[in-house]
This record gives sequence, structure tokens and C-alpha cells, in this order.
Amino acid sequence: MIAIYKRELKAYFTSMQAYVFLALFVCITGLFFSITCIVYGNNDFASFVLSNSFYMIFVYAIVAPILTMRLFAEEKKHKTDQLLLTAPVSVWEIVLGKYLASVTIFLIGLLLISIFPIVIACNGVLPVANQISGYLGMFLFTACMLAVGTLISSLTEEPVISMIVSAVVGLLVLFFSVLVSFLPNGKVPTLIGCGILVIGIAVLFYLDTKKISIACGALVIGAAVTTGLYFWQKEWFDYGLTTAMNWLSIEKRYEEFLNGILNLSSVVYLLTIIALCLFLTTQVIAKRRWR
Amino acid sequence: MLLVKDLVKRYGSREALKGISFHIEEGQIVGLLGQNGAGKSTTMNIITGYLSSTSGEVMIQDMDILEKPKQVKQVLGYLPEQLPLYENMTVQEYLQFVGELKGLRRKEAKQEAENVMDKTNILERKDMLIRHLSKGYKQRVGLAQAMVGDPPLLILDEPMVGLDPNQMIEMRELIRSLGGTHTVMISSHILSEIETLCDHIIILNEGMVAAENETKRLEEEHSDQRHLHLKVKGNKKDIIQLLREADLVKDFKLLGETEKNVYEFELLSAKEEDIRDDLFLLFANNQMIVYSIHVEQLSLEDVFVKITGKEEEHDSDI
Repeated sequence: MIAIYKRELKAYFTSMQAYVFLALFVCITGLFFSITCIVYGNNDFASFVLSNSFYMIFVYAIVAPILTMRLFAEEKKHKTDQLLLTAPVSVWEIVLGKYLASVTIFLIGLLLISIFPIVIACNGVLPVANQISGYLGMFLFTACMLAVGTLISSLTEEPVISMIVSAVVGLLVLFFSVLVSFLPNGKVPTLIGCGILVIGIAVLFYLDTKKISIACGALVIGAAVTTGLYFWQKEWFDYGLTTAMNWLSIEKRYEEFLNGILNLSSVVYLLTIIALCLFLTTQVIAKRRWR
Repeated sequence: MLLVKDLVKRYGSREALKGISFHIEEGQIVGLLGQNGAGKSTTMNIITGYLSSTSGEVMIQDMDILEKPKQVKQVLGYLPEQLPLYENMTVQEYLQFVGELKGLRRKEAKQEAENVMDKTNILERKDMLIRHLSKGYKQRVGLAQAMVGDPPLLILDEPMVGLDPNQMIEMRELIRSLGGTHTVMISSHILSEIETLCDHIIILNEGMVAAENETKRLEEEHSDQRHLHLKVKGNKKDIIQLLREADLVKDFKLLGETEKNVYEFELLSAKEEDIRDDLFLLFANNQMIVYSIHVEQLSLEDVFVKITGKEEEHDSDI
């Protein structure tokens, strides 16, 4: 895994990707810092810059996908995946090595933009706890987006397609709570939501096992659990759909960090999303061998 | 060293491998032949663990690739048809990376990279970016990466592609030098190369093993006893008259006069069995001297065309 990590890290710098990412990231952060902190005199860098909607769009829809676009897509395109997959290393080691390299590049960017709160601290009062919480949140949220990008990169052979899809997913994640606010409330929409979820799980079971009996079993169990829950706790279904969606929102968790709230459940949730995406990436790669 | 048993690979409804089986002894150089789409690369990809088979088993040094993938991959080196090269790395960096990937420590990997560069004759290009190398050099870097760590089993898919004649000779010598101490499996379209390099041949056709034997035996096995070449000294008219009247010969063709009064003929025997003794006596009894008489020997290319062509005819009949 270390060999893959080191090669990947080096490749970021030999392919200019790291320079492009770091230059864009630092410039955009510097621009927002100049406007909100220097021109308008705000001293809370984390709350005013890192949580700025336009800043987040720039970072997560444009800059972050640069880091993951070629992780697996290019390997597949140039057939170098044959070298990795026939070497005595597991798929997990390959995925983890590549992912950690992208996280490292982002960490370098994060260190570089630490200069901005330091400038505030040197010239005024800096709410330090808020900055630590904000930086931790940004690190975890970006690590999450990089894991999503890694998964997307394993699904295509074209780095550009990987970048575009990662950008679209980034936007969807950022505006998830806005989209959720358009969802209707009430028992019927919640039941429809549960139905879609159960059908989705059944379809996934079918795609994985190709056995209709297992998919039907999942469908029946899902329907039984939903019905049971409905008759046991009817009031859960009044606002069930929007409550569940808001709970799932990664962006909501990120906002907590930016507002100075260190919530352990949010840390665990974001780490779970990272682990899930990396696990799915290993499955996508392993599955390709069985085609 | 390598045992392949009832290997089946399906891509959707298409069956690329239809239950192939063979085994390779330690130290052999084995040629895997077949037309495009016969299943050569699929077989190699399954042996190396890049693809999974639909059914069947692959055992390398008595280890199953599905049960012990890491251990199996440790003992094999693979040169795929499309070279797996990182073009923005130098030759030295790339081979060192492959060494570390195979579990060598940094210093060992560096030393191993030097060793394989020396063996494949690319030391003078070690600091060049791979993207700036010629096709021939890239092919050598590809072979070098397969040799990193000195694995006892080498799987080489089309190692001669893109090489000029001199490079081909070098590559052939290199592969030959690996034989004995290494087990090598090569697929190639250049049949003459396979014929000179390999001591064992496996011919795949339509996803099945169409023929498998030692190279010489394979050529003998498929040689046609009924086609003969004859050189005889005597009067041309008398020889032709004798051949016309002989029950042994179904058809013949005069190829020419090779020396004074020595004529060369191509004969088609009327019998299934060897007629050389009877033919010799026939001419001797008629006071004519037989200079040579031999069964037409097929080259590997002829054997390949015969096997794959026959299968095609068979298929079209169905």
C-alpha cells in the first residue's frame, strides 16, 4: 500500500494536478478571505469564509474533483490497472493507497490556507476553538467528498467524465437540504419514500446475486418492517421523510462543525460514509474481474 | 508448476473459454498459439488473477489463485499485451515501484531494478521518461517489470510486438536464457519465433485446446504420411512411366531436374501406410537410383493453419 501511496503522491506533482489544485484552492480561499475578513473586517475565518456558499461551490464542485478524476479512470484507460491487479497486493491496499494520496494533497492545501487565520491572529482577536472545529469539519467533509470521487473514478474510463460527475454529485450534496425542503411532509410521502427505499434495496440484491428469490425476500421483509413501524409509531411518519433526509445530509453535519459544534455522531457518520465509499470502490474493482 | 483444469470463461452469453485444461512442467518454455479471439489473452489474464474464471481451477506451485491470490502473484511475473507502463515515470522509478509493489524494501527494489535493467539491456535509458522511449524499449521495460523479483513463472503476452529484427533476436536470446531456471509461457503471432523458442506448444482454437505437445512431436504428428518428396536418377520418360503404372502412387507432379538426370517429384500415396520401402524397391528393381525420399515435413505454421483451418471448416459444416 505504501508503494502505491508514494507513487500516487508523486504522480500528482509530475502531472501538474497538485499544482493546479493547490493554486486554485489557495487563490480562491485568499479571494474570499480578502473580501470577508479584510474588506468587511470579520475575524471568524471558519464561519465567514469556509461556510460561504459560493466558496463551498468553488471548492467542492470545481477544485476537489480535480484530485480524484484520474485515480482509477486513468489506470483503466491506460491498462496500468493490470500491473496493480496482478501484483501481490489486495484491492483494499490499492484503493486505500490512492485515496490517502488524494487526502494528503488536500491536507497540504489545508495547511497552506492556515496562513489566513494566522494573519487574523497576528492583527486582532481570533476565535481559536471555532477555527479548529471548522478546519476539522472541512477536513472530514472533503475526505468524504474525495471518497465519493474515488468511487466515481472507479466507475468510468474517462477522467473528464469522472470530474464532471464528481462535480454534479458535489453540488447535489451541497444543496441536499435545499432539495429536501421541497419534499412534501405527511404520512403518504413518507410511505412512498420507504417504498422507494425498499424497492431500491431489493434491486441492489438482485443485481448483486442475480437471484429473484433473494430480491423478493428483501422486498417482503422491507414491506413488513415498514408496515410494522407504521402501525407501531404512526407519528414518526408525519415528518418522517424530511427528518430522515436531513439526518442523512452530509452538508448539515459539516455546518455543525463550521458553527463550532463538535458532535461525535457527525464524526462517526462522516467516517462511515468514507468507509462505505471506499468499500464500494473495492467492490466495483473486484466485480470487474468477474465480468 | 502450472495446472489449468476445465477453465471456462463466459462474457455474457459468449463462451470465450470452453473448458480448457493443460499443465506446464517447471523450467519449460511453452508457446500459447491461436487466432485472434481464440482465448489466449483471456487464459493468461485468468492465470495471473486479472480476470476470474466462470468455472475451473488454476494451480500455480500447488496453490489455487482464488484461495491464495497474494502468494500466487508473488511467484509470477506478467507482461500483458498492452504494456502497463506509467509514462510519466522514468525507467528506474517505474521498475523500483514495481519492486516495492512486489514487497521488496526500497534498497532491495533499487538493486533489483538495476539487475533487470542490466538483463534487458536498458541501463543506458534508466533516467529517461518512459513516454520518450521507442516502442522496442518500452517492450523491454515491460519485460523488465515482469522479471522484477525473479519470479519462477513468467507469463508473456505477445512479447515480440513492435520489435525490429535485431531487438527480436535480443529478446529471443533473453527469453531462451530464462528457460530451465524459469517457467515461461509465451503467446505470439510470430510462429517462427515460437517454433525456435518453445519446447512445448499449446494451440487454442475457439476457446478449446486444439493441440498440445512438444514442438517437434506436434510437427511430426500432423505431418501427412501420404505426401512424399522423391529424388530419383534415371530417364525422365521411364521414371514417369513407372510412377504412372505403380499401384502405390495415386498422383504425382514433376518439380524439376535438380542435377543432370536427377528429377524431383511430389507424390501422393495411394495408401494410408508408409510406402517409402516399396517405392525404393520399385525403382531399384528397375535399375534406377533413388537419391532421396521423405515424407513432407510440416512447419509449425502449417500445423497451425491445418488445425485452426480444419476447425473452421468443421464449424461451418455445423
